[in-house]
Amino acid sequence: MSEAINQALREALDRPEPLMLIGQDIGPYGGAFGVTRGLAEAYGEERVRDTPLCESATVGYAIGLAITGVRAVCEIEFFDFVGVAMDQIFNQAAKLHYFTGGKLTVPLVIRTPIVARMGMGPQHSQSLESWFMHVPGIKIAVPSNAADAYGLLRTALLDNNPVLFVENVRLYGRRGDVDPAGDPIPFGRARIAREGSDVTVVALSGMVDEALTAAEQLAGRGISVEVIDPRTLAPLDMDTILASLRKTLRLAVAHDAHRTLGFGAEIAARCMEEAFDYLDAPVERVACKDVPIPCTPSGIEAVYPNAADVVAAVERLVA
Amino acid sequence: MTPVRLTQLSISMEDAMVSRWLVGDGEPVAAGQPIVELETDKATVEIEAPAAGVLHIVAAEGAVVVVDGLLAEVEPAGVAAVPQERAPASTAAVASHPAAPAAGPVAAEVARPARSGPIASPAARRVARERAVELAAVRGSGPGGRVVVRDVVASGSGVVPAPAGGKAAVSDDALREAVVRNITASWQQIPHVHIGGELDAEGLVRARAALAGSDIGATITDLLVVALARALADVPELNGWRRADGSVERAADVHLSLAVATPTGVLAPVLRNAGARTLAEVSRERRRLVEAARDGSADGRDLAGGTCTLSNLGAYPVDFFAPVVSGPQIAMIATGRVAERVVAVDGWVGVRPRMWVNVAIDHRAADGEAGGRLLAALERQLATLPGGPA
Amino acid sequence: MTIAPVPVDEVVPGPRPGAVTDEQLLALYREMMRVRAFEDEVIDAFAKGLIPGSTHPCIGAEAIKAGALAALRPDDLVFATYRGHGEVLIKGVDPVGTMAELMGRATGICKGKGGSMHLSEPSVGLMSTNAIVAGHIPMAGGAALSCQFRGTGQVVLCFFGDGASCEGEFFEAMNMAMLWNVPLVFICENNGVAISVPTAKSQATPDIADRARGFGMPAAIVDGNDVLSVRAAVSEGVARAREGGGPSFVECKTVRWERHSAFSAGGSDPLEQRLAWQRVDPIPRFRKSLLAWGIATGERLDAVDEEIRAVMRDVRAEAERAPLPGPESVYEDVYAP
Repeated sequence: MSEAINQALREALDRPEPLMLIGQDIGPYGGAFGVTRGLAEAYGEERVRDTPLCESATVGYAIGLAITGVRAVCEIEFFDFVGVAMDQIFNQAAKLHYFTGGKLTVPLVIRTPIVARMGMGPQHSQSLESWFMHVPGIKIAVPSNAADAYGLLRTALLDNNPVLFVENVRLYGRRGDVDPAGDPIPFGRARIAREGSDVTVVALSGMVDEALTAAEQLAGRGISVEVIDPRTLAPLDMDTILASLRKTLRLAVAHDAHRTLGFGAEIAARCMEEAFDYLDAPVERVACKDVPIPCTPSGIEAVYPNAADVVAAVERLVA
Repeated sequence: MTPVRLTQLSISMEDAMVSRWLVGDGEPVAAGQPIVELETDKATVEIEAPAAGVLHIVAAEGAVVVVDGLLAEVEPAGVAAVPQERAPASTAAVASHPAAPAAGPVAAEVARPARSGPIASPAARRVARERAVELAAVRGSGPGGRVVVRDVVASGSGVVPAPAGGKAAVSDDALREAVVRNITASWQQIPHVHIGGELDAEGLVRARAALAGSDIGATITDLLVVALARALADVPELNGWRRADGSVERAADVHLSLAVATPTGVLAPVLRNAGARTLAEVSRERRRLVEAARDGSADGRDLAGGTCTLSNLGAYPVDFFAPVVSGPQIAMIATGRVAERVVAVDGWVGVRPRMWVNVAIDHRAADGEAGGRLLAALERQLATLPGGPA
Repeated sequence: MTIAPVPVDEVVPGPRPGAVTDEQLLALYREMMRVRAFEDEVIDAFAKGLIPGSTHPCIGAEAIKAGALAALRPDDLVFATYRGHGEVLIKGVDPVGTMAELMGRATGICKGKGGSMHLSEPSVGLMSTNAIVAGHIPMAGGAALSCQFRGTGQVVLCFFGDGASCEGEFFEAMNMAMLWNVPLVFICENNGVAISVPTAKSQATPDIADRARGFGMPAAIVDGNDVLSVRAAVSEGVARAREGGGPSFVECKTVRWERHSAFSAGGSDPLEQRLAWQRVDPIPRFRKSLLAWGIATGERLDAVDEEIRAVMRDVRAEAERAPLPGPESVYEDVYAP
């Protein structure tokens, strides 16, 4: 996946339109996880620019570039650090177009990875995408594989709005085919990762693979699971999810974020609102426990969800 | 709190039925004010409030209370009302079952607010609406007895026309499986009490004979349907359903499920409004239902909503059998063959046509005594069956 | 403070400065008067319930706005705070559209969506005012970086107050501006108090310019109520930036008019405060100089005042007549196409 992201960035840098990448360590070092490797060499440090350690002003500078005709991509090294830059993201970038009555446009991509399950402790492990679903004006893409990362980032780099592009360190190394000749993946189009008829599982980022593993196991027991990857949370493709619910009558959501007010909470509310008569069981949420994420491997095992938890949720749904 | 208990008003009195409350629940009463009318074996009597205060009714209208049983409580005025958990108004056990405590749902379930309908998933409700299935008559197999879609589909088992884009019609295997599932659950969960008796079948035989020449092709079964429907009017506690939360819903009308043997298994199509139909109508409808059940064309409306079941094996040399009640119904009536028996008549040997009838009852919802009353009522009805078309 | 605004009656006008024409001097006076007249209408309109929410008039700070903006080219860019009506008007934004925006009308420059604190007209270089203290400072830095990157020769002015100079983003932005040598002039309006907390209680050092010097940035401190001092200092910074010499910092000492905002309550006696700033009011102070230098007569200036006030009365009346946006407009402009 990291190569797919690198490739999409290169293609954008090759275009004549002004574009600048800024962030800590993204220059000659190639990024904390190697995603921007080679870009500074190829395109120059003026365009692939290291910043001092100040997330807030980094995003602010990126906004300043974007509103004056220079498309910007800024990286926040770990999703957990987004707190330091929050005002610039949710109060400035997300709202400038709206409160200027459309006069300012913010073509900005904020790339940041989820660093879950790496044992780095509570401040280096979080999945905070649902915070941003709560803010109108910012788009959110959450690819779960190389092809989607490539296709979605291409779209983000053409979008005239601020886009939070949520990567995943655990998925950076996963290989997959990427089609440069194909079309960029539009936002607001979910992917049916596996078709099924008994239960719907909506999974995000790292949990997509876990859900597919669970589905494979359950298939052996005669339970047919449909796995849906929403790919973007804003805009969100509820139509695909609801069509699946109307088919299976049972739905679970799986994500690495905490259970309370994670993405699953919104899905559950919408299923209840928009397809109440198609719920044969309550919506299940497979999520990280509502505790700060510990360092120790046994703790990580205990708090994060996995394929077995998805299986258990499906079993409860069909009970 | 001052209890209002049923005092022994006559030597033979064992219980009384609450006929009518003269004061509403929660209303103030004065000491000595008449608050309730009771019906004993002898007469109707009024009971007075033993003290002034606020009335809290315990036994509802229609409830039968044993001597010394609690009818109500009077809360002294001025005391802040403390919500108390108590057994709701329900049919109390009569002295003939001393070991069984007053039947009724457990106190914990009482605290729940009145529910409008059975516990069912939203999807199950929708499917029930679409297929005109009476949800109260469907047994729930989901968690906590919740009715889920498969239960609704199974209760309307048979070749159900598939809704546009919905699940396909039920196959024979699925049907068999649904029947088995229902029977198994009934056997495992329902505590049965069987009340059986050999009833006089003279009236039945006479009525059958009188119809022999007419163009109404009425059978013994049809006559039993008519008689039973009328008898159930006298014993309404056996005509209805026990819901998952323990509450009992009495049906307003008698929709009799008729057990029919089909190639795929026993089905029970429902003869609706049995008590309101003439014999000719009953006969026609019974024939239609049996044919539909046998050829697989019975739909949801035909197969669900039954309030009580009649199973007649009288065509075989069967005298008595103890059937499995079909949950959530409360009772099933099993009839054997009509046969001439040697009986004692006025001290001499006589021969009369007799028929064994067994009333199988869900003992959580009603008692054997109700079965006894049903047998009595049925015997009365059989005796007075019309000798010609009704 | 090392420098403080000189009271008007103590001002002794120096010799007439040579590098500025009569027209430029009169233009400075007009711009200050336009802002004053506009803000007086704003205060009155707010008191009459025509302006929703809150508004932050910049009365008393006209010299800073007019002096600084006089140093710019038309295509230069400006970022300002929520106390930014002055910058907006002087940069050339339509006053009727501005007043209508304050009143939340559909014809406002931001379609009524932004109000007093969120004004924007990029077509004349007024990029944005901002409601978050110091929120706009890094954006101004990024805009300056953009001008440098695109090689346009544009310069960016970023206005903010003493309160902002305590925010982390302020320091971050200055560091990055110096690091990358961007064409940006920081203009700090130090009126001695944030909302209620005086700088003596919030600033570890009295001169905010020292912070810029800490980053190696050229910095000047001026009497913010002397429009020509402001103009001179900012012009120097703008020239440096345009020649690729990097950012500069100009701290303008001034005194605040009354309260933090038209909405704020509490604080010291407003009358006492009003007397304090009236004593150093930049407009009568500049008038004194203009009269002394023979640029205009008192009657002439009175006529200018009257003409400007009449214009602003009409501006307000026209804005008042404008319609409110319909409720469905709330769904527009959430995303750009």
